[in-house]
Amino acid sequence: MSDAVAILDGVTYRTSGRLLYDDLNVTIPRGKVTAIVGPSGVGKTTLLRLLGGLILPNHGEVRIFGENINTCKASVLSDLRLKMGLLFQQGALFSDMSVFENVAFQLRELTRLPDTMIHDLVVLKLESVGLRGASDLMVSELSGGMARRVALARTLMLDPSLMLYDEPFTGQDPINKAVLLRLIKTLNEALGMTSVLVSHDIKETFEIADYVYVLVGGRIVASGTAKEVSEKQQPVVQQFLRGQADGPAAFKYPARPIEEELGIE
Amino acid sequence: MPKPKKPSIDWGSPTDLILFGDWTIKKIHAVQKCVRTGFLSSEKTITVNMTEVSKLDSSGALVLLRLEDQWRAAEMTVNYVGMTDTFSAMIQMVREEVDKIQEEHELPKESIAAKVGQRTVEKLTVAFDFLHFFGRVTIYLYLLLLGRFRMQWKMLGKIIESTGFRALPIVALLTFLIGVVITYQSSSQLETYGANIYIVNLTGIMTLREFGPLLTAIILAGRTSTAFTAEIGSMVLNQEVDALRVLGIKATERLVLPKLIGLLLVTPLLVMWANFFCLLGSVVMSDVTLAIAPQTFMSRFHEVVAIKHLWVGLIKTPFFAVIIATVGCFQGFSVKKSSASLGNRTTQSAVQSLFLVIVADAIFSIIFSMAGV
Repeated sequence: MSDAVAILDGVTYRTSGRLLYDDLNVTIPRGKVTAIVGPSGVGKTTLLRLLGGLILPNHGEVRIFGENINTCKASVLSDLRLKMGLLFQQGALFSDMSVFENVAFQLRELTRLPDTMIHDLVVLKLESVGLRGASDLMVSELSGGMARRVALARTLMLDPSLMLYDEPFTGQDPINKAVLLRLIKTLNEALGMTSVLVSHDIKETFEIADYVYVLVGGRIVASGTAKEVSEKQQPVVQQFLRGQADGPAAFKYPARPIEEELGIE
Repeated sequence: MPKPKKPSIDWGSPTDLILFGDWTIKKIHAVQKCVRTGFLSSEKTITVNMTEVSKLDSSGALVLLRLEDQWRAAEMTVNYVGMTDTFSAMIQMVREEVDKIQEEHELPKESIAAKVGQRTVEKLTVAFDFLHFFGRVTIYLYLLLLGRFRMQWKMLGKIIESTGFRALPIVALLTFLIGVVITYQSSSQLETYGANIYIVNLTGIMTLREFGPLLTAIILAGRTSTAFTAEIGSMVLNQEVDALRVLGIKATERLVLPKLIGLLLVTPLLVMWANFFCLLGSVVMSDVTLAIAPQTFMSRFHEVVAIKHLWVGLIKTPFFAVIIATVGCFQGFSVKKSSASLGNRTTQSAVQSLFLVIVADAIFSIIFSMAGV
């Protein structure tokens, strides 16, 4: 596909002896909101880390903006990273800096803008996530939801063309969820930004996603528009979308027999 | 809240059991105890009366199920009497979980040989990773000298303050005490031969060549290397290092270079400071035990201790600084997703930097002795 921003091609990834994906193929179309949904522990965050070039696959190719991150030069990779933003699950703010300094970080590090300009840009970004009043707080004084929104402001500072969101809705109240949804949608339309959204908040995710991948057991079990996926009849997809406790997607880690574990003969 | 009732089992006849009390996690020891007192009989049916059981939770149910399995294994039929809906629901739930777990097949156990091999590979991987890290830091340092990176002046200042300035008191105190100790220990030996004045040669040369640099390096390894590991490690745990990378900042460049350069600048200065206090200790102790006046010590020192000994000591310091900074940072970056790993890596950082500092010092001794310095 020529109009794909990022492609995972036959990716195999192994972590601490466990095979997380085997021959995974995912395509992220340009200018769209792509959602990756799936149960906990299935490797959604790892998928984002692969897309963000933070880790390399064991086999297969990850191509971002046409560059293969396995083989491209370090300088190319750092250029690529400037074109994308990753919103971490816990925010990953720099805990020794204030909110303002966190958001200003990239501008201070990568540009030589005057302080007044930096101030205005930071205030604008903080306003867009509703936290202009919090700019002097330290990171330790923020709630989990606020930290996530500050992190979003920091990530959006250089207006990346590919945004990767890791569970943006978790821990947000309903109003914030709605604001975030609108923000993601607006950014996508106004800046022509490509967004990848990893989540298990089905309702919110399906509301804004143009394209949905369902990742279960290391494989993509369904993909398509939100509507198409909702109508898929595969039991595993239905189980996940409807939140049923019983079904094919039970998740167990390999374990010892119960007698041995409990010390009972 | 009512006190939990003690669980017990009453068997009027071997086939007719009455269970009493709370079969719950708080009383599980008592449950286990009364279960252990022997149960199997030759009868083919067994009745369990549950009417007197006041509470049953998942742990109690598990014990009960284990019993039931034993009876069934002995081909006995088990009948429950007085089973309430809540009890049977609890037993049913635990039964399902146990069955599910038993379906999983056992993982193969590892032999000692496999473990030894695994550990060997792990250690080798760490060694190679360290070399890789060291190489990368060297390249970054070179690029910084070429002016390709922006120096983090603020960060460098902080590092110099925390690793150098704040270490001054502890370095002074410890080296002073060591100066006192070595002088005291040597003086009794020297006195035997009436060679009191040679204390100046002895402590002077030893301090400048060995004690000053080595003691400083040991203090830095314990104090600074671990601090570097803890700082970088907690950033790794908080995903801050990942965040730096995705924000387009080279984590190594930003986090390691100021520490390395700071330590390179600070270590020789600290060694001079350490030398001074170690000798001061020696001067004080010589005055006390050997009656060598400080003036005599100083003039003698001037005569017999060549300046080359100072250089021999100082030339080692950049190597020590590099070891301490790179080991500390490397261990920090090796922290995995757990707080135990952070503690583990911090310990490793102290142990490895101490080890490498002493090995490096020994190598220097060999080189100097071969060169005849």
